[in-house]
Amino acid sequence: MEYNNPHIPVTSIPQFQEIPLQRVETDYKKVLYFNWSIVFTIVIGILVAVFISNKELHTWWAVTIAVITVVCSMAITTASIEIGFKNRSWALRDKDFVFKNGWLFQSTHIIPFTKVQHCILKTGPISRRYKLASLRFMTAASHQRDVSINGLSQIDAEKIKGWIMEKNIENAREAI
Amino acid sequence: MQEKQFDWHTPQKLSPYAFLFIIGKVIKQSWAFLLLFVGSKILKNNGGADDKTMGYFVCLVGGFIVVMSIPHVIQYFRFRIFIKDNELVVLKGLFTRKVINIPINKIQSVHAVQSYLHRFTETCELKIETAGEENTEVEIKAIDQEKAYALQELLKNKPATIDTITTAEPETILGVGFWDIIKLSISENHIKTFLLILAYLLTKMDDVRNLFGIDTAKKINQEADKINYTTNIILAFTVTILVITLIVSFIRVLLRFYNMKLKISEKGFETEWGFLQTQRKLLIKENIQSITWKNNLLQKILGIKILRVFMAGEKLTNPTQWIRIPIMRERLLEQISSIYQSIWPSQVAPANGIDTSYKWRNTLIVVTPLAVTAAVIVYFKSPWLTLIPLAVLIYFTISNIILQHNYTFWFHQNSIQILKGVWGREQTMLNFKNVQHIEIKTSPFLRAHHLCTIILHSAGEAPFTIPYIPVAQANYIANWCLVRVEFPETM
Repeated sequence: MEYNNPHIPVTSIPQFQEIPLQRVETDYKKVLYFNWSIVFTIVIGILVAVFISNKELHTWWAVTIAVITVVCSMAITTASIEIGFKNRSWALRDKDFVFKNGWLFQSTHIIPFTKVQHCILKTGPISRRYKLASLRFMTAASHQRDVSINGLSQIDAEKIKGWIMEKNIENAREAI
Repeated sequence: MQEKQFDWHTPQKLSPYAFLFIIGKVIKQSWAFLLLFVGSKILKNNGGADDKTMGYFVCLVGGFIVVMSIPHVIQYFRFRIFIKDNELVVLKGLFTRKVINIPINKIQSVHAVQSYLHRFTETCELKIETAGEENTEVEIKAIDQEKAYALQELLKNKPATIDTITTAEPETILGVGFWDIIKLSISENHIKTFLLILAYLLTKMDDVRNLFGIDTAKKINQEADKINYTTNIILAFTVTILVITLIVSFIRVLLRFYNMKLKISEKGFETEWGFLQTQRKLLIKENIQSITWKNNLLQKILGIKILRVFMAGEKLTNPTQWIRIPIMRERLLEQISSIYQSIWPSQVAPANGIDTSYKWRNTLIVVTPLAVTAAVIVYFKSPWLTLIPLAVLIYFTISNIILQHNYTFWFHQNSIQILKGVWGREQTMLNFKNVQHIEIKTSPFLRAHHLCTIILHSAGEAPFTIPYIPVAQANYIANWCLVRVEFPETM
């Protein structure tokens, strides 16, 4: 058996980490704030109802704990939106898509176009108001860990989707 | 065995024996009605119902069974399977004609299952899977055995044009004999078997309580309190549990590996196994996503490894369809793995480890808080019980140290290989070309130490994860992997 393991210098292969990433649309922050404000309104509403209906909770410490918990949750959410937003960025290369997100726990995803089975473009009622869209890449990875990129402009999302489809058709032709 | 030739360009029907399966299915679906019928018959005998009512009942049950059978009978007559222009075409449907066209090169695996009824009627249940579908794409309940095997053989070859098949005789490289079964039974995970028995018994006890209102657990406790525990009784009890566990382990191994045969050819593997139900599965080498071989402590001592082959489109949630091959000699492992990757990275590349912080981070962040909380809770019940969470903490601390120490990975141009394990060993190999998407994760701690976790997602297995490695190394692996996926012509 002949063993073959030549050295490949790092510089000779494309480096995904060196490409500049583009941030998602600033308006997406408004969408995030809107979505979270709905969540907090519901949570506060439930808490108020529980506190009014249950007399055992009419104590200063119970109210203080609830208020502190809600305020802390709101502070963490705000921080995660503000700081996390700075990290939410993407880049399109000739053969793959790079996407980064997260605040404390950050993730970078690289999805080669050849592995994309199909992509889904999604818009919600709030996103539509700001002309934003989400793009979901479906690959054959069996454990349902497909990547969604939120906060793209509708035009960009359409262009990326078109580009990927075009690339896939090109690859299929080459394969034939 | 010389297999009969079939013209797959001509539409093929289901076996006439499929009617037996239709009847079985209908009885299964209408069991409640049949039960009602039997019940009313008994009532009649006790003077509870008159002849007229009984007549209506018989008509109702008969009518129901007929109505239930009609769709299946129509489906039987409408079902056709054939090959046209390099596509497998399946025609079926009840009221609307459904045509399923599967390009031959998209078929990931062909699985033939034979129950006793199938064996008796010389038929097979055939399952055809593709990567695009979560569920089995085509499921044929009963097709002639010879036809099923011929189709398997045909699809295994998957040529550019189906007319130009050259059949090479596959070589049998594995046959699991009786002594192998015994060895495998002895080396089974008996703790797992014991827990399975325990879980089964608890469920049954719960059923008894729900059905008859008898608190079985209480009864057992009462009876157990009456026993005068001597060393002999405890010993006898332990031996009984051990024997039962061994017997159950033996049955599990028998069901999984009995009469297992593995044939290898240029195109891939062909496996056949099963005790009560014979399964025959075809593994086309292009569709293998990754391979894993592992052994527990006992298997390590006995020199046994269990190889698992992950295929694209495989139902990971259905263990009965998993491809598990017992490896009783090292040469066999090399022979089988060579179909997927001829040169193991561990044979040619330097070994890499993971950062030492991995061994204490997991203990500190996950295990310690849980153990301390549990210790505080149980302390108020009995101070002695705090020894249990303490023992758990010690166990996991030692396990994490060993895990970090053993965690090794190698990679070369085409593949990456991981070795891990605490008491046993598990090795996984993944070809870069099979990676679907790459993920690099960091936490504040990892960023501060210039470390990260790389996850390679593939179509056939849970993510391939390498934790706590230098960022530069992870980037190199990711970039190299992308080169292999995006520039296949350079391979």
